[in-house]
Amino acid sequence: MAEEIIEQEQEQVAQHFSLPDTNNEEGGEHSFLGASFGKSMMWLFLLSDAFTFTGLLLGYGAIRVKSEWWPDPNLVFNSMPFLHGKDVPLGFVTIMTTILILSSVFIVRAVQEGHRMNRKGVAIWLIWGIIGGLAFLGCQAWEWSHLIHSGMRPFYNVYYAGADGQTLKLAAAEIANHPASPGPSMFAGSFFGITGFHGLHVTIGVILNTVALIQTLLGTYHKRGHYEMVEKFGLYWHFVDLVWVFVFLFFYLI
Amino acid sequence: MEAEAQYRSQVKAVWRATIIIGIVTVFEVSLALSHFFFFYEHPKLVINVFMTLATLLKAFYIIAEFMHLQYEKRTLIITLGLPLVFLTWLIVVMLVEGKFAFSLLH
Amino acid sequence: MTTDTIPGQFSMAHTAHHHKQTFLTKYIFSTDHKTIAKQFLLTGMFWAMVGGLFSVLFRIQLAWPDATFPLLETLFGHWFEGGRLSTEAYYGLVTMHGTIMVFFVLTAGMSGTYSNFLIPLQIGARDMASPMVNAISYWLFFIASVVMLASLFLPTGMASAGWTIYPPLSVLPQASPGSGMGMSLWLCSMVFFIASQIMGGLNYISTVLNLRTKGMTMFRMPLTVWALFFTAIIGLLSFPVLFASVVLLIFDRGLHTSFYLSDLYVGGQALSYSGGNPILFQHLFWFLGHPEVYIAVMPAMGIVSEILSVNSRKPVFGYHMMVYSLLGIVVMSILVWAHHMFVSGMNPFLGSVFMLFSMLIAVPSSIKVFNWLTTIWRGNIQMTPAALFCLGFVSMFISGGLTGIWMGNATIDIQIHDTYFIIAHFHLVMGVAAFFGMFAGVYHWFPKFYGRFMNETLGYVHFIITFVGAYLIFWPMHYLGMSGVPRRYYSFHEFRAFAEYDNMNILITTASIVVFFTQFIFVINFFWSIYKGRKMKTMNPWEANSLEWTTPINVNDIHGNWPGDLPTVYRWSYDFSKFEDEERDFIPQTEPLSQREIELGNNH
Repeated sequence: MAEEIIEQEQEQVAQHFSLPDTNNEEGGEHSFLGASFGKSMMWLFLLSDAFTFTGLLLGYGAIRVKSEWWPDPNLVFNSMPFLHGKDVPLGFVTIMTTILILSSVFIVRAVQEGHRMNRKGVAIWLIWGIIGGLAFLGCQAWEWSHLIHSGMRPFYNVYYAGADGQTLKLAAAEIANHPASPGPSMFAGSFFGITGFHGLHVTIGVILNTVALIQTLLGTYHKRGHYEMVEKFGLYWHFVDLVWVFVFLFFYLI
Repeated sequence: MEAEAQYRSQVKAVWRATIIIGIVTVFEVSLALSHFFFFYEHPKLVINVFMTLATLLKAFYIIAEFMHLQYEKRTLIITLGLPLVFLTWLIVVMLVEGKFAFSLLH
Repeated sequence: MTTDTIPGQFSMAHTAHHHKQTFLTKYIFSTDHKTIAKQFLLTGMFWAMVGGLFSVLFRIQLAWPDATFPLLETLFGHWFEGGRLSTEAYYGLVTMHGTIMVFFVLTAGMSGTYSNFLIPLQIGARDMASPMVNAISYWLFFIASVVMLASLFLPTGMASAGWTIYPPLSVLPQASPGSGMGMSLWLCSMVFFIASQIMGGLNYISTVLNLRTKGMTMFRMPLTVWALFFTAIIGLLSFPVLFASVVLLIFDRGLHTSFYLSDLYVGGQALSYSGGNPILFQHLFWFLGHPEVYIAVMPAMGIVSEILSVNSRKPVFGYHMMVYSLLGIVVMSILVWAHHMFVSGMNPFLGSVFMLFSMLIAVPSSIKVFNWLTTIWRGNIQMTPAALFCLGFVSMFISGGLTGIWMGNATIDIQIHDTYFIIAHFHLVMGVAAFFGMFAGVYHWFPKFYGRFMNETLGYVHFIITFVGAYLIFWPMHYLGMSGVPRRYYSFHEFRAFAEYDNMNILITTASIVVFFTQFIFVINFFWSIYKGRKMKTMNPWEANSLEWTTPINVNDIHGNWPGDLPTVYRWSYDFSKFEDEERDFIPQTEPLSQREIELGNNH
């Protein structure tokens, strides 16, 4: 008797959890958005996250438009690791951008292999994607520490306006004599704040991709019959890439 | 075999998008650098507009190709696209406000 | 791509039947949408009592600014040092009243309760799209609640920069005692709250889009579902921007960036901030803040449409127009935020654009009002407490909405900005009105919640006193505001001109005390009826058409609605009094079209 009830419950639970395509006219493939609810939830989440990042970037934009003078990014972001003292404007950040875009491509490849149920292919491309993410984070860490070493803080900017509006840099030894920020402090504040917030997203993305990799290697998705989880995490990862494209434009190019 | 052909064409499409994004990035950076090295005395406005357009192009390829949106159902595209109207309005308002604050200060 | 199973939930299906339901899994860490709805409702009720109590406390100060109340010192300690409300506590209480009522009661308590409860039941789904995300959404709200509650007991005082937390008050810890730890906890709580709302919203939207039962097309959904769906959309698009503004505020507080602060002098000393813009915060805040008003009131609109139709035994008038006007409100609500900022120093040209948009929002709102009135017109009105509260909602919405047209005009707004006029306006239109919608919903769906009815007599008493009391509180405030009495002032001692309004303030405070204690009638009624209320005899006590009345309350104690197959839907949910010669004046959604209807041509 008890077993029967359990069986019944099992059946009901199973029915409950296989809902979208069995009981719903508009569930599954025929749904309004043409995507399973997991994927549509991820899309909608990214939409809302896009609003968050727009809010942040607009905070930066409104302040930048309001300011009289802004340091020239070509003179601020001009150093490269291993090329000490050499002047390479925008060199390093272009490498960072390339790394992140390539890592995004690798994840696309993982998703495509997922559609063919090619477990090994998914794993390999995921590993490449994760390496790309970690490399990007490493680059960002190097860039941050370089700026911090030269005296930049979220509330302190060593790049100030010369007499003709050219960008000058306060020497490290002089910093002690200038308690107030010599240049517009929001240049540093918005840079650290927004690239930091983006970096947090990258970190989360790397963690998600690692979870996907572990589950791929364990065969969880293979048993499930589809690699939709890789696709969902992938969407998130591309979104991180998408945000970076705009951060790159607004902080480094313009 | 049809699935295999489809797979190949998708892979090709992704690498094609990658190359386009790469070229656009190089274009952007060279625009910025050309201003820095050759036209430093001139206002940057025109170059900024071109770089913004280039970034929007990159964003389009990331969303359409990497995020696979151009192959999704039209309703999803519309659902995600329409709210951007609100963002546009927010962007316009904030930039106008920033300019207005600038004009008050100077 | 296949969608045979729902990723991430499969393991739950395996464990669900192994364990016997304990108290913890059934009532506390439940993933059942009905339980989560009750959790939201009870937490919301708790916060409503706290928020209401706070308003009574600062109203006492406004009515009797010089009197001392030793009893209140005994009860509330250092807030009432010497029996008189301290200035810090006054501003703290005002801030908390706003925060609690707007966010915790009218957003989480309202959407959380009704979206969770009604969406799956009214569209014919076993549960939410992702029950787990749903539970996490509640528990994030719970954490937010705990943090906010903890901030009330800080020795330095709670956040006191107003619920709008404008910088520099909210950024500078030295600005007021509450701007230190109190503000930090406020921001922390808000981060959890926003995460909770976004998770909830994602779930509501994808449930409505993906889990509708067979035959339930979008235009057969009850208006409640439409309203909750649109509410979730607004929340999903506007809460992230609040999140951005809170993050930037946290940067300003923690990292000393100056997003919101320009050059500032405090006590003759220049602060290190420079280059920021406080108006930036106001824009980002009101990008959420204005849609937030509609997040509060739109679920009430849906509930009212549904209950008025059921209780006047008539189809809702202009169903499609109701949906389109909701959509219009969604679009307009996100475009009009800066009408809160006409006097803040924003660009006056932009102000006029915002004024135009604000005026336009009156169009969908009045369409809705006309449709409610024409729904009850010549209807066979059943005067249940729920219906009374709905009528109260319509009344409040009209009274408050008309003054909205005044406030939306920049020229008038400059005169009455930040006076009691605006207090009267928004309390009527989105405060009391939304509460009325909430009460109506509780009275109407209580049988669905607990299988028993609430006591009707107590319901009538509750309605009459609250309705009359609400007008007594907020109607006089219009006069106060038009004569220029500013809001948020601790005392009007220094303003001899306002002395003539002392009696009016006493009237308002007395009414608010009476209304506050009347709410205990509702609370007692609620808890008493859970255990002792009249039992429900039939499954469909109000003879409504919608799907929630076709399933028993608990299905075998496991979560999931409808034993056996999900119902199939053949019509919209407003087929009331369709044929005069039939004995039954309603046709449930699950009933196939009759021969007669097919011949007449059925348009839903």
